[in-house]
Amino acid sequence: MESMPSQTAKLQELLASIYLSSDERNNYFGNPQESAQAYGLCSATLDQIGKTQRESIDFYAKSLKRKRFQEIAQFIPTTMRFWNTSLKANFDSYAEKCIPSGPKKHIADLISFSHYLTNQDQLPSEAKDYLKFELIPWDMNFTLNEKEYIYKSSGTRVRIVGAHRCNGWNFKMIFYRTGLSRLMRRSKMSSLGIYLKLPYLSKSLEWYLPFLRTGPAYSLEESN
Amino acid sequence: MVEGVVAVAAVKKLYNSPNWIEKLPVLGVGIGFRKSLKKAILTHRKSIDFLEIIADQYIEPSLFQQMELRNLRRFFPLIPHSLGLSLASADSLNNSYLKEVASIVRAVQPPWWSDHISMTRTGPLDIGHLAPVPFTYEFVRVVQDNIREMKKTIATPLILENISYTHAFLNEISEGLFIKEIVERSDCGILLDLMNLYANSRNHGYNPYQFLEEIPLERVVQIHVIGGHLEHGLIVDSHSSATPAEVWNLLRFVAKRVQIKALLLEWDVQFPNFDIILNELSIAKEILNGIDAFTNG
Repeated sequence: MESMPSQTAKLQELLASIYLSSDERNNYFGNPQESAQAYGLCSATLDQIGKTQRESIDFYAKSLKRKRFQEIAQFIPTTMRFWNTSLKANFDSYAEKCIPSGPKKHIADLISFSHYLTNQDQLPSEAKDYLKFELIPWDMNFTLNEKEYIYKSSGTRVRIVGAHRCNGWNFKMIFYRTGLSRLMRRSKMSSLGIYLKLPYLSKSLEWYLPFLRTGPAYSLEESN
Repeated sequence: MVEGVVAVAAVKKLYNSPNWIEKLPVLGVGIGFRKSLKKAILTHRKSIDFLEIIADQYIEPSLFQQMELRNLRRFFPLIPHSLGLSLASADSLNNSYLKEVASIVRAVQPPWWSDHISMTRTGPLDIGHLAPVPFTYEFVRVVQDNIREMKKTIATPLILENISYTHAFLNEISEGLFIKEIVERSDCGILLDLMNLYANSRNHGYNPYQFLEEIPLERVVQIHVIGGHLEHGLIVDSHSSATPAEVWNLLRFVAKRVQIKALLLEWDVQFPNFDIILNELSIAKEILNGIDAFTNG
């Protein structure tokens, strides 16, 4: 006779798998006894979930996907604004194949979803360009009383900010994306920096997108 | 540094005293700290008594986030609220996650911190959100064992939140009794989410006041209120709308019976004009102080 704790862990493993995979859900609701056997569950333990309705599990599974999508959407607001529907449709099939874990799982999810998208033919190339642009980390150049501080962000930071000058202080902050700064160095404009403000973001993007499309300035791998 | 050590020692001493919940400070009414509300929160800081921070967002914090926490601490008491401890997982705690939460608790030095009675992962599978478990004595024991292990790392009092769930299992005991067994055996406080309770009672057809009679109300430290939305006939706790009247009535019921240390408006998405948030806080404050028209009428 197997111990109760072991059965409890197996029950949770079965539950997690039916929450996360539609194939596992189909298998389970098609033949609960067979699924239980595959997970090593005894019938008494299986009884605990025996009467749970398929619809309510489907509803929960859908809400899990929706929460994942919302988490990553906040990192790519511009891409989301224009291609929300196609990204959502792609996310549904992607989410079945890839399950991130760990403390920064939303970032991991975003990166692997981006890789997934780059291989999807039905997504317009403009959307892929916007996505690449938004995945490039921000750099921050911070000057206070002639001293320069440089903060290099890690991961995919998508903070929309402006440049600030405070009266009476020699204070300046410039935020720009690594990829764009690299582009600027190539075009000998590095001293200008980029002053991004939310209303102007689209315009800036439009101006830079031709460079992004034509020049192999960076790849998704570089932004990891 | 010395200040931090003294604070931790004081918390340990408090937690070891028999009536530690009574001795917790009364914080008042607060809101969940969300980046898009930051400016408004700082502008209206006199109307907000404390902030709850999502601990998971400060794991491996960047320089910005460390500065942010330090700055917020200057203005508000902060309560860390973690999502991923997975106290109901039968395969033991995730130690690296626990250590990260411990470092946030150390940095913030709150009077208490909170997580949920739920599982978020099992083995290698990360569910990504709070999932319910069957209400059985076996799961009471699982949660109890995990809390015992957790207490070796974090000395600050833990309060546990009831979650909302769209699917239920064949339960051995009621949810109220399940929570009672866990908090009494583990000597924890309760973070009573009244919207979760309201949504569950509507979705699964039970009386929320019976639930409130079953749980040890004297262990309620903090309350969450907020509204959700209706989807396919189910109430979804989406933290996206103003608190419904039914939830305020549940709060009146609890506030008449125990002293609530803190009440939090848990608005997460579709933020309204901040005046609406301030109005919600003022309703909550009136109920907690027993001066709202409905309580007295």
